Amino acid sequence: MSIRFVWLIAGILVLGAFSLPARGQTGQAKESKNSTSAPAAHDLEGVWSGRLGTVGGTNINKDTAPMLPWAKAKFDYNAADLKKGMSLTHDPTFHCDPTGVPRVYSTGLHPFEIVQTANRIFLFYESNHIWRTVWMDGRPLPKDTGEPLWMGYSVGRWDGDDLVIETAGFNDKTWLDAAGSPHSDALQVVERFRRVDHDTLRLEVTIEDPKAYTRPWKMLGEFKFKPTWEIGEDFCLGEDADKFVKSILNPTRKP
Amino acid sequence: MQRRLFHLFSAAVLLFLAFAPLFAHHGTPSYDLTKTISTKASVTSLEWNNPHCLLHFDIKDEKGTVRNWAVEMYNPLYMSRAGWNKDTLKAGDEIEISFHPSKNGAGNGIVRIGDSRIVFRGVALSLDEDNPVVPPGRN
Repeated sequence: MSIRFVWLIAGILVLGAFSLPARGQTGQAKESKNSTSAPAAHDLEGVWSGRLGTVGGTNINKDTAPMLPWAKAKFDYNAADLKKGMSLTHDPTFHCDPTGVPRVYSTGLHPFEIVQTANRIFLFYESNHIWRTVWMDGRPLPKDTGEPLWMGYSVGRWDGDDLVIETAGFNDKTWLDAAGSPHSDALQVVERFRRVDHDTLRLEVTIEDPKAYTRPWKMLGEFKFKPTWEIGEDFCLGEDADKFVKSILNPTRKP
Repeated sequence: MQRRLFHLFSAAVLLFLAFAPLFAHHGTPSYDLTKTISTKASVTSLEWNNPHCLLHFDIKDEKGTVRNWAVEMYNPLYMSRAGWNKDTLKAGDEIEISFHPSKNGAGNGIVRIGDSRIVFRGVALSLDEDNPVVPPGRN
Protein backbone atom coordinates (compact mmCIF):
# COMPACT_ATOMS: atom_id res chain seq x y z
CA MET A 1 0.00 0.00 0.00
CA SER A 2 1.66 3.21 -1.12
CA ILE A 3 2.09 6.09 1.28
CA ARG A 4 -0.03 8.30 -1.02
CA PHE A 5 -2.91 5.87 -0.71
CA VAL A 6 -2.60 6.00 3.07
CA TRP A 7 -2.76 9.81 3.01
CA LEU A 8 -5.77 9.68 0.66
CA ILE A 9 -7.64 7.42 3.05
CA ALA A 10 -6.60 9.59 5.99
CA GLY A 11 -7.85 12.67 4.17
CA ILE A 12 -11.19 11.06 3.39
CA LEU A 13 -11.51 9.90 6.99
CA VAL A 14 -10.91 13.45 8.23
CA LEU A 15 -13.57 14.76 5.84
CA GLY A 16 -15.88 11.97 6.92
CA ALA A 17 -15.34 12.71 10.59
CA PHE A 18 -16.36 16.32 10.06
CA SER A 19 -19.40 15.66 7.95
CA LEU A 20 -20.89 12.43 9.28
CA PRO A 21 -23.37 12.79 12.11
CA ALA A 22 -23.15 10.19 14.84
CA ARG A 23 -25.20 7.12 14.00
CA GLY A 24 -27.14 6.37 17.14
CA GLN A 25 -28.81 3.10 17.93
CA THR A 26 -32.32 3.04 16.46
CA GLY A 27 -35.01 2.47 19.04
CA GLN A 28 -37.59 -0.19 18.34
CA ALA A 29 -40.50 2.05 19.29
CA LYS A 30 -41.92 4.26 16.54
CA GLU A 31 -40.58 7.75 17.12
CA SER A 32 -42.70 10.83 16.66
CA LYS A 33 -42.10 12.71 13.44
CA ASN A 34 -40.73 15.69 15.32
CA SER A 35 -38.34 13.71 17.47
CA THR A 36 -34.72 14.65 17.32
CA SER A 37 -33.67 11.18 18.38
CA ALA A 38 -33.02 8.41 15.90
CA PRO A 39 -36.01 7.36 13.76
CA ALA A 40 -37.55 3.89 13.94
CA ALA A 41 -35.93 1.40 11.64
CA HIS A 42 -37.41 1.25 8.11
CA ASP A 43 -39.22 4.54 8.51
CA LEU A 44 -38.54 6.96 5.69
CA GLU A 45 -41.97 8.58 5.65
CA GLY A 46 -42.30 12.29 5.20
CA VAL A 47 -41.50 15.19 2.93
CA TRP A 48 -37.87 15.44 1.84
CA SER A 49 -36.13 18.35 0.18
CA GLY A 50 -32.83 18.20 -1.67
CA ARG A 51 -31.28 17.18 -4.95
CA LEU A 52 -28.79 14.99 -6.78
CA GLY A 53 -25.35 16.38 -7.42
CA THR A 54 -25.42 16.57 -11.17
CA VAL A 55 -27.16 19.74 -12.20
CA GLY A 56 -27.61 22.15 -15.05
CA GLY A 57 -24.80 22.31 -17.53
CA THR A 58 -22.30 21.20 -14.96
CA ASN A 59 -21.89 17.54 -14.18
CA ILE A 60 -20.62 17.76 -10.63
CA ASN A 61 -20.54 14.01 -10.30
CA LYS A 62 -17.26 12.97 -11.84
CA ASP A 63 -18.21 9.34 -12.03
CA THR A 64 -20.19 9.63 -15.30
CA ALA A 65 -19.19 6.66 -17.39
CA PRO A 66 -17.87 7.00 -20.92
CA MET A 67 -20.67 6.87 -23.48
CA LEU A 68 -20.93 4.56 -26.43
CA PRO A 69 -20.68 6.47 -29.73
CA TRP A 70 -24.42 6.79 -30.46
CA ALA A 71 -24.99 8.00 -26.89
CA LYS A 72 -22.19 10.55 -27.16
CA ALA A 73 -23.72 11.87 -30.38
CA LYS A 74 -27.08 12.15 -28.66
CA PHE A 75 -25.47 13.92 -25.71
CA ASP A 76 -23.81 16.41 -28.05
CA TYR A 77 -27.15 17.11 -29.69
CA ASN A 78 -28.89 17.47 -26.32
CA ALA A 79 -26.24 19.86 -25.04
CA ALA A 80 -25.76 21.80 -28.29
CA ASP A 81 -27.34 24.99 -27.00
CA LEU A 82 -24.75 25.24 -24.27
CA LYS A 83 -22.09 25.93 -26.88
CA LYS A 84 -24.11 28.93 -27.99
CA GLY A 85 -24.20 30.17 -24.42
CA MET A 86 -27.90 29.48 -24.09
CA SER A 87 -30.00 27.35 -21.82
CA LEU A 88 -30.75 23.92 -23.23
CA THR A 89 -33.86 23.96 -25.39
CA HIS A 90 -33.82 20.34 -26.51
CA ASP A 91 -34.70 19.45 -22.95
CA PRO A 92 -37.83 17.25 -23.03
CA THR A 93 -39.02 18.66 -19.71
CA PHE A 94 -39.32 22.04 -21.44
CA HIS A 95 -42.38 20.70 -23.21
CA CYS A 96 -43.63 18.99 -20.08
CA ASP A 97 -42.42 15.45 -20.69
CA PRO A 98 -42.06 13.45 -17.45
CA THR A 99 -38.56 13.48 -16.04
CA GLY A 100 -37.91 9.75 -15.77
CA VAL A 101 -35.61 8.36 -13.10
CA PRO A 102 -33.29 9.55 -11.59
CA ARG A 103 -33.83 13.02 -12.99
CA VAL A 104 -37.01 13.20 -10.92
CA TYR A 105 -34.62 14.08 -8.07
CA SER A 106 -33.15 17.03 -9.97
CA THR A 107 -36.27 18.94 -10.83
CA GLY A 108 -35.25 22.33 -9.62
CA LEU A 109 -36.22 22.72 -6.05
CA HIS A 110 -39.31 20.62 -5.58
CA PRO A 111 -39.54 18.23 -2.64
CA PHE A 112 -40.89 14.70 -2.66
CA GLU A 113 -42.83 12.63 -0.15
CA ILE A 114 -42.43 9.01 0.90
CA VAL A 115 -45.52 7.12 2.04
CA GLN A 116 -45.16 3.52 3.20
CA THR A 117 -47.98 0.99 3.19
CA ALA A 118 -48.01 -2.73 3.92
CA ASN A 119 -46.81 -3.91 0.52
CA ARG A 120 -46.01 -0.72 -1.37
CA ILE A 121 -44.03 2.43 -0.99
CA PHE A 122 -45.37 5.46 -2.79
CA LEU A 123 -43.06 8.24 -3.88
CA PHE A 124 -44.88 11.50 -4.57
CA TYR A 125 -42.80 14.10 -6.37
CA GLU A 126 -44.12 17.65 -6.28
CA SER A 127 -42.68 18.50 -9.69
CA ASN A 128 -45.30 17.82 -12.33
CA HIS A 129 -47.31 15.78 -9.84
CA ILE A 130 -45.39 12.61 -10.61
CA TRP A 131 -45.80 9.54 -8.43
CA ARG A 132 -44.23 6.12 -8.43
CA THR A 133 -45.21 2.80 -6.90
CA VAL A 134 -42.45 0.68 -5.41
CA TRP A 135 -43.65 -2.89 -4.88
CA MET A 136 -42.36 -4.21 -1.55
CA ASP A 137 -44.08 -7.60 -1.62
CA GLY A 138 -41.00 -9.53 -2.65
CA ARG A 139 -41.81 -9.74 -6.35
CA PRO A 140 -38.79 -9.65 -8.63
CA LEU A 141 -38.34 -7.10 -11.36
CA PRO A 142 -40.38 -8.53 -14.24
CA LYS A 143 -38.45 -9.66 -17.29
CA ASP A 144 -41.09 -8.09 -19.47
CA THR A 145 -42.60 -4.86 -18.20
CA GLY A 146 -44.75 -4.37 -21.31
CA GLU A 147 -44.92 -0.96 -22.93
CA PRO A 148 -41.82 1.13 -22.23
CA LEU A 149 -42.53 3.45 -19.34
CA TRP A 150 -41.57 7.04 -18.57
CA MET A 151 -40.91 6.30 -14.90
CA GLY A 152 -40.17 2.57 -15.16
CA TYR A 153 -41.45 -0.29 -13.04
CA SER A 154 -40.06 -0.43 -9.50
CA VAL A 155 -39.60 -3.11 -6.89
CA GLY A 156 -37.96 -2.58 -3.54
CA ARG A 157 -36.58 -4.32 -0.48
CA TRP A 158 -34.84 -3.50 2.78
CA ASP A 159 -31.13 -4.21 2.96
CA GLY A 160 -30.46 -3.69 6.65
CA ASP A 161 -31.76 -0.16 7.20
CA ASP A 162 -31.28 0.80 3.55
CA LEU A 163 -34.21 0.96 1.16
CA VAL A 164 -33.10 -0.44 -2.18
CA ILE A 165 -35.29 0.22 -5.21
CA GLU A 166 -34.68 -1.41 -8.59
CA THR A 167 -36.36 0.07 -11.62
CA ALA A 168 -36.43 -1.05 -15.25
CA GLY A 169 -38.76 -0.99 -18.25
CA PHE A 170 -37.96 2.59 -19.24
CA ASN A 171 -38.53 4.26 -22.57
CA ASP A 172 -35.54 6.14 -24.00
CA LYS A 173 -37.15 9.57 -24.11
CA THR A 174 -35.83 11.12 -20.92
CA TRP A 175 -32.54 12.62 -19.84
CA LEU A 176 -30.69 11.21 -16.87
CA ASP A 177 -29.80 14.71 -15.76
CA ALA A 178 -30.26 18.34 -16.73
CA ALA A 179 -26.94 18.25 -18.62
CA GLY A 180 -28.49 16.04 -21.28
CA SER A 181 -27.01 12.62 -20.46
CA PRO A 182 -28.99 10.14 -22.58
CA HIS A 183 -30.01 6.55 -21.94
CA SER A 184 -31.48 3.61 -23.82
CA ASP A 185 -34.48 1.45 -23.03
CA ALA A 186 -32.07 -1.04 -21.42
CA LEU A 187 -31.60 1.37 -18.51
CA GLN A 188 -31.83 -0.06 -15.03
CA VAL A 189 -31.65 2.22 -12.02
CA VAL A 190 -30.93 1.28 -8.43
CA GLU A 191 -31.79 3.79 -5.72
CA ARG A 192 -30.35 3.13 -2.28
CA PHE A 193 -31.81 5.35 0.43
CA ARG A 194 -30.20 5.62 3.84
CA ARG A 195 -31.61 7.74 6.64
CA VAL A 196 -28.35 8.69 8.27
CA ASP A 197 -30.09 10.64 11.02
CA HIS A 198 -33.63 11.78 11.73
CA ASP A 199 -33.44 14.73 9.39
CA THR A 200 -31.10 13.48 6.66
CA LEU A 201 -31.75 11.03 3.85
CA ARG A 202 -28.92 10.11 1.55
CA LEU A 203 -29.46 8.67 -1.88
CA GLU A 204 -27.02 6.70 -3.99
CA VAL A 205 -28.22 6.12 -7.54
CA THR A 206 -26.58 3.50 -9.73
CA ILE A 207 -27.11 3.84 -13.47
CA GLU A 208 -26.66 0.67 -15.47
CA ASP A 209 -27.21 0.95 -19.22
CA PRO A 210 -24.87 -1.26 -21.22
CA LYS A 211 -26.39 0.01 -24.47
CA ALA A 212 -25.31 3.58 -23.67
CA TYR A 213 -22.46 3.51 -21.14
CA THR A 214 -19.34 1.41 -20.87
CA ARG A 215 -19.91 0.68 -17.17
CA PRO A 216 -22.34 1.44 -14.35
CA TRP A 217 -21.99 4.82 -12.69
CA LYS A 218 -23.38 6.62 -9.69
CA MET A 219 -25.00 9.84 -8.60
CA LEU A 220 -25.26 10.95 -4.99
CA GLY A 221 -27.78 13.18 -3.31
CA GLU A 222 -28.95 14.32 0.07
CA PHE A 223 -32.39 15.34 1.30
CA LYS A 224 -33.54 17.06 4.46
CA PHE A 225 -36.65 16.13 6.42
CA LYS A 226 -39.34 18.83 6.28
CA PRO A 227 -41.96 17.99 8.90
CA THR A 228 -43.91 21.23 8.38
CA TRP A 229 -44.05 21.11 4.57
CA GLU A 230 -46.88 19.74 2.44
CA ILE A 231 -46.39 18.79 -1.19
CA GLY A 232 -48.20 21.38 -3.34
CA GLU A 233 -49.96 20.97 -6.65
CA ASP A 234 -47.61 21.47 -9.56
CA PHE A 235 -48.43 20.69 -13.16
CA CYS A 236 -46.33 21.48 -16.17
CA LEU A 237 -48.64 23.26 -18.60
CA GLY A 238 -47.87 23.45 -22.29
CA GLU A 239 -48.73 27.12 -22.46
CA ASP A 240 -46.42 28.00 -19.56
CA ALA A 241 -43.62 25.94 -21.06
CA ASP A 242 -43.96 27.56 -24.50
CA LYS A 243 -44.11 31.02 -23.03
CA PHE A 244 -41.05 30.43 -20.90
CA VAL A 245 -38.96 29.06 -23.73
CA LYS A 246 -39.92 31.97 -25.99
CA SER A 247 -39.57 34.81 -23.54
CA ILE A 248 -36.71 33.74 -21.31
CA LEU A 249 -34.67 31.00 -22.87
CA ASN A 250 -34.68 32.48 -26.33
CA PRO A 251 -35.21 36.15 -25.65
CA THR A 252 -35.69 38.52 -28.53
CA ARG A 253 -37.18 41.31 -26.48
CA LYS A 254 -35.94 44.73 -27.42
CA PRO A 255 -35.10 47.14 -24.65
CA MET B 1 -16.42 -2.54 4.52
CA GLN B 2 -18.73 -1.51 1.70
CA ARG B 3 -20.95 0.47 4.06
CA ARG B 4 -17.97 2.30 5.46
CA LEU B 5 -16.72 3.14 1.97
CA PHE B 6 -20.18 4.34 1.01
CA HIS B 7 -20.20 6.64 4.03
CA LEU B 8 -16.71 7.93 3.40
CA PHE B 9 -17.17 8.42 -0.32
CA SER B 10 -20.47 10.16 0.04
CA ALA B 11 -19.17 12.28 2.89
CA ALA B 12 -16.26 13.46 0.79
CA VAL B 13 -18.40 14.12 -2.26
CA LEU B 14 -21.15 15.81 -0.29
CA LEU B 15 -18.66 18.09 1.41
CA PHE B 16 -17.60 19.14 -2.08
CA LEU B 17 -21.19 19.54 -3.19
CA ALA B 18 -21.93 21.76 -0.21
CA PHE B 19 -19.80 24.42 -1.83
CA ALA B 20 -21.04 23.92 -5.37
CA PRO B 21 -23.16 26.74 -6.71
CA LEU B 22 -26.88 26.14 -6.88
CA PHE B 23 -28.18 26.24 -10.43
CA ALA B 24 -31.74 26.47 -11.64
CA HIS B 25 -32.82 23.13 -13.04
CA HIS B 26 -32.25 24.26 -16.59
CA GLY B 27 -28.88 25.79 -15.83
CA THR B 28 -27.93 29.40 -16.22
CA PRO B 29 -25.57 29.64 -19.22
CA SER B 30 -27.49 32.52 -20.74
CA TYR B 31 -26.91 34.72 -17.70
CA ASP B 32 -23.73 36.53 -16.79
CA LEU B 33 -23.25 35.33 -13.23
CA THR B 34 -20.06 37.36 -12.86
CA LYS B 35 -22.07 40.57 -13.23
CA THR B 36 -24.47 41.96 -10.68
CA ILE B 37 -26.70 44.96 -11.27
CA SER B 38 -27.80 46.65 -8.04
CA THR B 39 -30.39 49.32 -8.48
CA LYS B 40 -33.60 50.93 -7.34
CA ALA B 41 -36.51 49.84 -9.50
CA SER B 42 -40.22 50.22 -9.90
CA VAL B 43 -42.25 47.00 -10.16
CA THR B 44 -44.52 46.68 -13.18
CA SER B 45 -45.80 43.16 -12.56
CA LEU B 46 -45.17 39.85 -10.81
CA GLU B 47 -45.91 36.80 -12.94
CA TRP B 48 -46.77 33.87 -10.71
CA ASN B 49 -46.28 30.93 -13.07
CA ASN B 50 -44.35 27.79 -13.68
CA PRO B 51 -41.62 27.09 -14.29
CA HIS B 52 -40.30 30.36 -12.85
CA CYS B 53 -42.03 33.36 -11.37
CA LEU B 54 -40.99 36.49 -13.26
CA LEU B 55 -40.61 39.93 -11.77
CA HIS B 56 -40.99 42.78 -14.25
CA PHE B 57 -39.71 46.20 -13.27
CA ASP B 58 -38.59 49.54 -14.68
CA ILE B 59 -35.14 50.95 -14.10
CA LYS B 60 -34.61 54.61 -14.77
CA ASP B 61 -31.06 55.56 -15.69
CA GLU B 62 -29.27 58.82 -14.88
CA LYS B 63 -30.55 60.36 -18.12
CA GLY B 64 -34.10 59.54 -17.15
CA THR B 65 -34.47 56.76 -19.73
CA VAL B 66 -36.70 53.99 -18.49
CA ARG B 67 -36.02 50.38 -19.39
CA ASN B 68 -38.18 47.43 -18.46
CA TRP B 69 -36.52 44.25 -17.22
CA ALA B 70 -37.78 40.73 -16.54
CA VAL B 71 -36.01 38.77 -13.83
CA GLU B 72 -36.41 35.05 -13.34
CA MET B 73 -37.11 33.78 -9.82
CA TYR B 74 -38.10 30.31 -8.57
CA ASN B 75 -41.24 28.25 -9.11
CA PRO B 76 -44.42 29.42 -7.30
CA LEU B 77 -44.38 26.67 -4.68
CA TYR B 78 -40.77 27.41 -3.78
CA MET B 79 -41.54 31.14 -3.61
CA SER B 80 -44.51 30.39 -1.35
CA ARG B 81 -42.27 28.48 0.99
CA ALA B 82 -39.91 31.47 0.99
CA GLY B 83 -42.82 33.64 2.18
CA TRP B 84 -44.09 35.12 -1.10
CA ASN B 85 -47.49 35.05 -2.75
CA LYS B 86 -48.75 36.44 -6.04
CA ASP B 87 -49.52 39.80 -4.41
CA THR B 88 -46.24 40.27 -2.56
CA LEU B 89 -45.11 42.79 -5.16
CA LYS B 90 -47.47 44.82 -7.31
CA ALA B 91 -47.25 47.45 -10.02
CA GLY B 92 -45.84 50.66 -8.59
CA ASP B 93 -43.93 49.09 -5.71
CA GLU B 94 -40.50 50.61 -5.25
CA ILE B 95 -37.80 48.03 -4.61
CA GLU B 96 -34.03 47.69 -4.47
CA ILE B 97 -32.83 44.71 -6.40
CA SER B 98 -29.50 43.00 -7.09
CA PHE B 99 -29.59 40.54 -9.98
CA HIS B 100 -27.51 38.96 -12.74
CA PRO B 101 -28.28 40.18 -16.27
CA SER B 102 -28.49 37.99 -19.35
CA LYS B 103 -25.47 37.92 -21.62
CA ASN B 104 -27.28 39.15 -24.71
CA GLY B 105 -28.49 42.43 -23.27
CA ALA B 106 -32.12 41.60 -23.95
CA GLY B 107 -33.36 42.99 -20.65
CA ASN B 108 -33.60 39.68 -18.81
CA GLY B 109 -31.94 38.60 -15.62
CA ILE B 110 -32.05 36.16 -12.77
CA VAL B 111 -32.08 36.30 -8.99
CA ARG B 112 -30.68 33.40 -7.05
CA ILE B 113 -30.49 32.26 -3.48
CA GLY B 114 -27.29 33.47 -1.85
CA ASP B 115 -26.13 36.13 -4.31
CA SER B 116 -29.17 38.27 -5.08
CA ARG B 117 -31.43 40.58 -3.16
CA ILE B 118 -34.89 42.05 -3.41
CA VAL B 119 -35.67 44.65 -0.75
CA PHE B 120 -39.16 46.09 -0.32
CA ARG B 121 -40.04 48.65 2.33
CA GLY B 122 -36.78 47.89 4.12
CA VAL B 123 -37.39 44.14 4.22
CA ALA B 124 -35.09 41.78 2.35
CA LEU B 125 -37.54 39.32 0.79
CA SER B 126 -36.36 35.74 0.95
CA LEU B 127 -35.18 33.69 -2.02
CA ASP B 128 -34.63 30.68 0.25
CA GLU B 129 -37.47 28.23 0.86
CA ASP B 130 -35.65 26.97 3.95
CA ASN B 131 -35.55 30.46 5.47
CA PRO B 132 -38.80 32.26 4.74
CA VAL B 133 -39.33 35.95 5.40
CA VAL B 134 -42.75 37.49 5.95
CA PRO B 135 -43.10 40.36 3.47
CA PRO B 136 -43.92 43.77 4.92
CA GLY B 137 -47.52 44.90 5.22
CA ARG B 138 -49.07 47.51 2.99
CA ASN B 139 -50.47 50.25 5.17
